[in-house]
Amino acid sequence: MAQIDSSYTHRDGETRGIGYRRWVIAQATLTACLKVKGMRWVVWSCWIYAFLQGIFLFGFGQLMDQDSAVYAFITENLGFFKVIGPMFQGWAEENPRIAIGMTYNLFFYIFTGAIVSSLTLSLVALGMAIPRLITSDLSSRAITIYSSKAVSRFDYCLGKFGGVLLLLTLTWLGPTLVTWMMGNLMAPKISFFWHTAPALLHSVAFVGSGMVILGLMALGVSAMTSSPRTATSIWVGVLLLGVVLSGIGMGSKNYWLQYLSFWFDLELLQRWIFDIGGDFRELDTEFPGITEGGLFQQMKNRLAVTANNVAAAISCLSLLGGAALLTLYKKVKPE
Amino acid sequence: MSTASTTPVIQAAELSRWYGIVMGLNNISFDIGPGLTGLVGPNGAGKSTLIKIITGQLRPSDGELTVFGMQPWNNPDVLREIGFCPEDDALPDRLRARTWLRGLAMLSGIAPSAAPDHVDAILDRVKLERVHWGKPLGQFSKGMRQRVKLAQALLHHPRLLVLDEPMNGLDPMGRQDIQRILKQLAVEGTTVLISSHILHELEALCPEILILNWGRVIASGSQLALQRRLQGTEANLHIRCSDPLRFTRVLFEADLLLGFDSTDAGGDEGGLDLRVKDPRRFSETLVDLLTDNDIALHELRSRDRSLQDIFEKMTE
Repeated sequence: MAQIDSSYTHRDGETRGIGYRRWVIAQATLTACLKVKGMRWVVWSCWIYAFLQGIFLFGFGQLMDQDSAVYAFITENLGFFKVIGPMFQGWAEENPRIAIGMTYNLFFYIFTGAIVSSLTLSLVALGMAIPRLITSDLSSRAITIYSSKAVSRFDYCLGKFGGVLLLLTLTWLGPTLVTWMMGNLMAPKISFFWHTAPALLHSVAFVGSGMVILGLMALGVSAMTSSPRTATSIWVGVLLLGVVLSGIGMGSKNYWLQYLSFWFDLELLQRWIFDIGGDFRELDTEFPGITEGGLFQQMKNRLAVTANNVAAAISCLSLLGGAALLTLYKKVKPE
Repeated sequence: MSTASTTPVIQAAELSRWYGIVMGLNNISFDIGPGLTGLVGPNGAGKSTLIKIITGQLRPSDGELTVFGMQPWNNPDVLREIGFCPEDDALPDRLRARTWLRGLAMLSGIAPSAAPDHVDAILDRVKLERVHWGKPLGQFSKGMRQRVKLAQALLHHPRLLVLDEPMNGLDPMGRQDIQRILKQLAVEGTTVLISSHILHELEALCPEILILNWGRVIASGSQLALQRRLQGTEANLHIRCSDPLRFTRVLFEADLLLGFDSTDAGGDEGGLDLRVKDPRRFSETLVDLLTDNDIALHELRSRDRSLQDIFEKMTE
């Protein structure tokens, strides 16, 4: 028998660049996350939620069309709408920026960040995904092998971050975009697209920033330990701590405690990006006094945000992101 | 370790690595050239630390180590030339062998369309039975896991292959397979550095060795050269002659004998294990001593041939 096996020929083909390798890590991370039991249910829930929002926006659009079945149904069944319906329509045709643009902006403010929203579902998804991000590589020690490949620690982390962003795109950004598209595609007029464009931009800006900060936090937590249970517990702890700090700080002397809650910081960021207060001011200019008193006044008070508030929130979110990056720097290595 | 005709693949100059106050490597310098090189040393000698530095897993505390002329720490340009088979059981249990290796092949830059065939070829090469390819790694035996670890190290056709205890957990057939693969790689031009505590296997496999102890290089070079170097001071011999007692007395009087042990009782008639000093003078005077004293020599052989002997002498 020959001592040396001469039948084997080694591949000597072209190898692809670092962008491709990062993409491979991102893809593998997403695949691993989607294999987690229950993750597909969460993703499906996000899309069902988006679909329901789309139906809601469809209904809103139909109110702008006198010939629509929805309009006919509502005017037949709600007596007061027979009176205000035509008035609303006439007003909406004269003020589409307010009637359509502002309404969409408010809707998307609620859709993207409310307690029952894609944000909450995304946090659940991240909680389930955390053991599969970096923790599993640390516990299996496979990180020793990955770090011996032609991928730097930065590339590894970037790939993992890409995987988290893909997951959040599935649970948060994607459903938001599809909701907006559904609402506009089923709207009675094409003009809905440009009247609602600001709402889309605000949503993308907020969801995009939220994805970056939550993605970093998830990676940081995942890199903290090689025990999947501990990693998940830390994530749940971070979420609960956010709720508790926000609750303690609200209305107390120690109001600054709220800024230690990423929930609160994200909410301030969202208020600033969507600028609902600005919408109310515009409404006031067009229709003086309309926002004073009643539900409008409550909303105005609730959504008021100052530049200092936002600066503090962004600083705190940056600190959280910085802490996550520091954890990655310290922990993602085979030593 | 390099010769004048070969360019060193790995070069270390005054390399040190500390873990807090503990010294892992202490100001070592060496060259490793192409071919098969064995890395030998007792536990805590610094083998794993050195391997981690070579494969870019650890940063040196002081001094410099280069692989193909570049520093490997966090340097993808060097790492794409290195295949590393760690000692740790570093496999993700829930993934299937083929799936995991395809992912790693793509991570090494191989196109998705080419990765499956490439992985299959490598798995064939490490002789992992096809029936196991689709099974989760958690179900693999130690030997099968060793083969998968070797396969991942070979995926990107590295110019330098570093293996930390690659024979662990392998049965004799498996060890033979791995040895054959490593020899083949060396023939193909791959530099192979193997750390192992199974010295007789390294002896058969690696013409070059690097011996570490207490974080220092205590010997490096070809086994043959090291053997000669050791023989400069003393040699262990086995002889069989017509009058063993007289022969020991003659050697003692000639100031050549350091020690002896008769093997006569074990059925080896006229047998003696000798430890002689100054082997060169011994070989020059042997014929005269035998003829002058009328002693017939039946057998003479060296007992200093194994890597184990070199290792023991170097580390004692």
